[in-house]
Amino acid sequence: MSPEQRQYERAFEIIEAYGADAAKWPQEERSSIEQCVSQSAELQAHMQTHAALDESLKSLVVRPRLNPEIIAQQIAAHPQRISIAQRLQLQLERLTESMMTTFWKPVFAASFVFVVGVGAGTVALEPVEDWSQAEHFSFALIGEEQ
Amino acid sequence: MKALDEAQLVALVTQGDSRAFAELTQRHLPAVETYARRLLADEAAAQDIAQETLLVLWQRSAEFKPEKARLTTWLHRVAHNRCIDLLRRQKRETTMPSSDLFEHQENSVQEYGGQEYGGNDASDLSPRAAPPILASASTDKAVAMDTALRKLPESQRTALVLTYYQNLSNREVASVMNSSTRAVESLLCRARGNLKKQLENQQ
Repeated sequence: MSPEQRQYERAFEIIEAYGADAAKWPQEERSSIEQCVSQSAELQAHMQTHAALDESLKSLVVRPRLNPEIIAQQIAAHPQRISIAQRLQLQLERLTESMMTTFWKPVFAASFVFVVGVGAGTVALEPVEDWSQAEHFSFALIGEEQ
Repeated sequence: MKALDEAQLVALVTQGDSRAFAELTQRHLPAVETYARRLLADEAAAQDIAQETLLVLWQRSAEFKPEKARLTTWLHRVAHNRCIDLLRRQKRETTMPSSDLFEHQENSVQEYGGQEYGGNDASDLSPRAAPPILASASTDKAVAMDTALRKLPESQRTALVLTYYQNLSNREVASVMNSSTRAVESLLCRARGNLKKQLENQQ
C-alpha cells in the first residue's frame, strides 16, 4: 500500500469514527486528514454523508437542571475524607512552598553576586606572560621578602 | 477564584476551601449531569450520580493528579463508573424476574406515554424502557435520535456521548473508558453505523 493510499484509508476511518466535523478529529492527524480530504472527491462525498448524521446528533439537546450553587453548598457541608498520609503530604507541600517564598530572594541575591564576581574576575584577569613578575607581585602582597 | 486554574482550585478544595469548590462545581456540574443523563436516560438517577461525583471531588480531591489528566476527564471517569455500576445493577434486576419488577416496568412505560424504549434483549447495558432524555418540546429528528441512541450497546453509546457531546479527545475518552484509542475508534465507527441504520429504519 502506498503512503497516499494509506493516508486515504486513514482519512476514511477518521470520518467514519468521528464524523465530518474536523474539530472532533484527533488533533495530531487533523491537518494531514484535511489535506487528504481536499484532494479527494470520494472523501468529500463521505464527509457529506456523515455531516447529515452529525446534524441529527446535534438535534438532541439535554439541558442540565441542577443548580451548581445550591449543590456546592450542600456538598461542602459534608466532612472531607483525607488520609493522614495525604494530609502530611499537603503539609509538606505547603511548607516547601512557604520556604521557597521566604528564601528565594536572599538565595537569588547571593547567586547574582557570585555570578557577577566570577564574570568580573574572568574579564579583569589578563593572561600572564611573565610569571616572575606575577610571582613578585604576589610575594609583595603577602609581605614575604625575597 | 475565577482567575485560578483548576489545579490551584483543587489544591484549595483539598484544604477545605468551599469557595474554590463552588467555582469548580459551577464549571463541571452541568457537564457531569448531562453526561449521566445521556448515559442513563433517567433524570433522577443521573442527578444523584452527578451529585455523588462532585461529592467525590470534595471528599477525595487529594487523589486527583493534575499532571496526569484534566479535571473534567477525572470527573467523567468517576461519573462513568457510577453509571456503569447502576446499569449493571439494573440489568441484574431485569434478568431476575419478579412480579413487583414487572409491575414497576409497566408503570414506568405508562408514565412516559406508553412509549417503549428498546427491545427485550438484555445482552447489553442499554437502559431499556427508560424515559426519554429530551430537554423540552423536541423535534421529530431529536425523538428519532434519542430512540436510536437508546438502542445502542452501552460501550458504543458511551464512546459516542463522550466524543460528540462531552467534547473529550480520543485519549481522554479512552482514559474514561479504561480502553485504548484504537478501541474507542472502533466503538465510534460501530456506533455511528448502527445509528445510521436505525435512523433509516425509523423513516
